[in-house]
Amino acid sequence: MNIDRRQILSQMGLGFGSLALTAMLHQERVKATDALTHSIDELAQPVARAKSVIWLFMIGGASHMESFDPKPALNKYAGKTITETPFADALESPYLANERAVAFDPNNGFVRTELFPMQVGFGRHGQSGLEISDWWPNLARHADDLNLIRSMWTEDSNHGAQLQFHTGRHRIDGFFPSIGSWVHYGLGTLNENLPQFVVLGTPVADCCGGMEVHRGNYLGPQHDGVPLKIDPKDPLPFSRPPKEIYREEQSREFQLLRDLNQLTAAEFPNDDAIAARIKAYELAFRMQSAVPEIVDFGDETAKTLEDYGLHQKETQTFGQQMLATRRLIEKGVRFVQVYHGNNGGAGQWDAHANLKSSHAKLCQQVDQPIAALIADLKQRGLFDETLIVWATEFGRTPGSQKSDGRDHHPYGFSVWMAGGGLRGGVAHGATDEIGFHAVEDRHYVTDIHATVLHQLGINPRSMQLPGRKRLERDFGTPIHQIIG
Amino acid sequence: MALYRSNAARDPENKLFWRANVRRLDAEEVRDSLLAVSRSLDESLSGPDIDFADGDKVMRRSLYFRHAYEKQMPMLVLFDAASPNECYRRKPSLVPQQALALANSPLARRLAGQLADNCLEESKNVLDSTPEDSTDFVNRLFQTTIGRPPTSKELAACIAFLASQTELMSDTSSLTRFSESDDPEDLTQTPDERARQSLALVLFNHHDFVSIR
Repeated sequence: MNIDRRQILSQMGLGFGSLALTAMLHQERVKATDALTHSIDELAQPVARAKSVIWLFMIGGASHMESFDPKPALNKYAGKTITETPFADALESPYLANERAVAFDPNNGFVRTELFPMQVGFGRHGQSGLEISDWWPNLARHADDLNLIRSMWTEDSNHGAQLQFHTGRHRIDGFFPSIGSWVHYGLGTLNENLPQFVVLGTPVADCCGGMEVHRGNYLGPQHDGVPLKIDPKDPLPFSRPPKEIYREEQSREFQLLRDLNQLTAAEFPNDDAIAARIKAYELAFRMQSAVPEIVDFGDETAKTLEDYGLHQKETQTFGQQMLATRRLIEKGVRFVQVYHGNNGGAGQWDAHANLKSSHAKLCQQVDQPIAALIADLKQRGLFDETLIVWATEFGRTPGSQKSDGRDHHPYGFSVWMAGGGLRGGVAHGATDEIGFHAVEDRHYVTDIHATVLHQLGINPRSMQLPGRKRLERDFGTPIHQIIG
Repeated sequence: MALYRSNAARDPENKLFWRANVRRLDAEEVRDSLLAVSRSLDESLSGPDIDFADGDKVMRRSLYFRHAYEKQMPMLVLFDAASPNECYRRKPSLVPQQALALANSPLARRLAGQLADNCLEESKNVLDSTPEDSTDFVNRLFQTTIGRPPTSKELAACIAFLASQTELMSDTSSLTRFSESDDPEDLTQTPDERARQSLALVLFNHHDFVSIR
């Protein structure tokens, strides 16, 4: 295949970074034809089953035992210390050595040994009989679409784990490209009028990774997530000119600019960047109208607004974000990352105390909107090509903290994935009987990344920049047991 | 230009270094250039670092603003400001958000007005220039922003733009706003002032304003 440099630039128009990938893929094909030195696994491009990703992140650490991983033993042994139960060996496990602390925190991040009973009931749902807590009544109706992954583990016992979940690297290692940025880097665009990696909700606070949780880092800022606000008047930075400017006035400015840049392009036919800049301005001009339209719900039916919970105080904010998410996915946006639970610090899901009341409230805020989104995507035929990930940075301790809360717990926790060609109705992996360690089919966070990329048809190993060696663990392994 | 063309024909990739390779301005240079060409740059040296959120108000060099991983000026970030975490070489990117930042930021628009006023003021002192003839004004604008005079085609396009934009802004009753709820403007500018500001803003967005050849 003969790829002309100028042709790529003019077609891509924007991403010098994406140029690198195209070049690498090309090289890979060349290699694949004659080299036997590479294993099939290294070179295979999986078949794309999904086009887009919805990434829902609960900030603070949602309890696995009160959401998707019930542990009746906690009720049976409530009040006893772990050493008094048959599960005392959890405290001797070699897995404990996976913890890496950044700085000593005298209050949080300890193993809590006095077992705390489950704070909510559980029921079996759907044909598959998946066990889901009673705080998720709406989501539970879609049980047969969910793939619960109950055997996650991470390293950071503090909230730097929020960063780690997205980059696959501990806070101490520094900053690396986030999963959304890798997806953006690996896939072309489906809609030229919108940013392709969009961030909704208030991002992770500075303590815990801040904007780096959705940044491209060394991939370059063109792969950063673009935060949108649910405000048609001001959805993104510099999305419109100062308010005294008229549309016609600005339109002529852009027209003249285009004419002048084209005159310069004619003088310097070897300067590829001019063509790219002309294209960037055209896209920018279209984004000015396309982006505000996404967050303007004027054309949605009253029933839709009702379904997403826009009329109730509790669900309104997250409901708006879920509805905006569907509108973005519908328009072909590749990756929508939605944050829930920012409180300026560790996050609202961080239930060191009052777990029962706080988790009940937080679940209520997101349960109906997420269920509405799944139903809506199905109704529009988008569910199978859209991969939904619900995640949090770690779980919570089986033991109690401050009598009615749970501490940070990196040794075992749950996330779920749905749609995008995954099986559904599956509970994969397991923690031990008190929910302490992930013991069966253990998954580090990058296995989620690898699964996402696999469903999008990307081999993670094809994504490595010259001079930026990635570790084996950075790539992760797709979770084949949940892939349909 | 003839020499450029013949060299470009013989060595389009510049393998023999017959010219400098084109590079984009760094983030700080983009912002500082906006301030400098409109004579708004505060050149005072040293002092404590300045809150990054004041980048639109404080006219000091970009160097003096706080720059940490969680504290970065959006405009600088869009133009690939240095990573606070490591010392790799910067990689210039070209994204539509840069276009939006330069075209829509109130700072750029305000400084464009300033620049247009300066150029007009200077052009008034030229004896053979009349208010009806904007040739000298356009020449100055080009020299100031991209360091060369306009070609005849560019000059013609700009002069035509000034005329049509002035006409457009003379009657704004039929024009549309970006949002219906925006307040009607307090028009302190005359239509021709506004047209000149528009032209200056266009030149801020010209490829050669952010590039060095």
